[in-house]
Amino acid sequence: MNRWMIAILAATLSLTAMAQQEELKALPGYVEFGELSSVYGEPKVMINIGGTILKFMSAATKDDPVAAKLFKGLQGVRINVYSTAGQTGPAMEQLTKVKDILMNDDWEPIVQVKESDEEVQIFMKLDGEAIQGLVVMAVDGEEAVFINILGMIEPSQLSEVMEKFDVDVDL
Amino acid sequence: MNESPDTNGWEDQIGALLDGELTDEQAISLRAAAEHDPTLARAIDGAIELRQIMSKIPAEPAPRRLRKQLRQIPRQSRVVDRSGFLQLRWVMASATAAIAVTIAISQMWPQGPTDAQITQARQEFNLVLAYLARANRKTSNSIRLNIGHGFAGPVTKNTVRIISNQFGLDKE
Repeated sequence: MNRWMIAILAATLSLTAMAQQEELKALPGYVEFGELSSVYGEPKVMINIGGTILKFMSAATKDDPVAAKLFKGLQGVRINVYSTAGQTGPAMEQLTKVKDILMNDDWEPIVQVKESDEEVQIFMKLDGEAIQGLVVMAVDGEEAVFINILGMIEPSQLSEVMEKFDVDVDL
Repeated sequence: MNESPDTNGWEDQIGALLDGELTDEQAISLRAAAEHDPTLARAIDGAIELRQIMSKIPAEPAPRRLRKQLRQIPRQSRVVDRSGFLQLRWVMASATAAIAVTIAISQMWPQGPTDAQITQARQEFNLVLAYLARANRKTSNSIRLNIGHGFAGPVTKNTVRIISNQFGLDKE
């Protein structure tokens, strides 16, 4: 019976994570990146930050109005990073699939870099002049990176925050 | 639910072990039995695991009325026969489900994340920005290669600036 109760608790906790994911899925800027775990194994980085915690992050950055405003407008941040270990084929295929979906769903292509062993695609979803989502997909011989930022993004704020945070991390 | 009848017979002793209510001799006897009975050993492990999970659940005082009712339950009623124990199982299962639902609700509509959670989220956000910056460097390099440094300068400082310029979003 103990196992039974553990199963109930575990299932419910999983349910909450799924509920948060479902909450993000309902947003117009959400993009389904598909499944690459079967090819590359579990993602080396998988982050899902929901709107609730972003709002608290906003409150925690009162001394930085730009960052606070950025966090306040954001509704979600997701990233999946897989190690490609030189095998870029499956990730490139997935990138192309997602790109086709975005093109058919009125996402605006912003930047595209395509080389033999490397590709970067940046898309943006607009509602009038408001931005609802940003997608960055980058695949090379080292990694496949899929980023989805949801919510009202003001690019200039994002830029300022990137400069203020020491984001030049050696990845 | 597929536990053997033998394991069910040990339930009270396992509970007493976790509550520290067994004498040293009883505890030694139970552990010795577990060494020869994998089912019993698993039951003890499961009970310890459950206790650890339960201990992590934030406790709030029960309503006074409920506490009063609980105090009125005769202590003897904890000793039950097999059919009673089955009923107790369902009560405990229902209680577990209720706790789980409460956790789910509190997580979906939290009072607020802890400072540690906010710090972690901030670090994760920073990592996302780092990956954004790296993608930006790649696109910038490509733009420089294709159109040269002189013309690329205005648009290669930052990808978001490129986006911003393209849509005129940075203009007030």
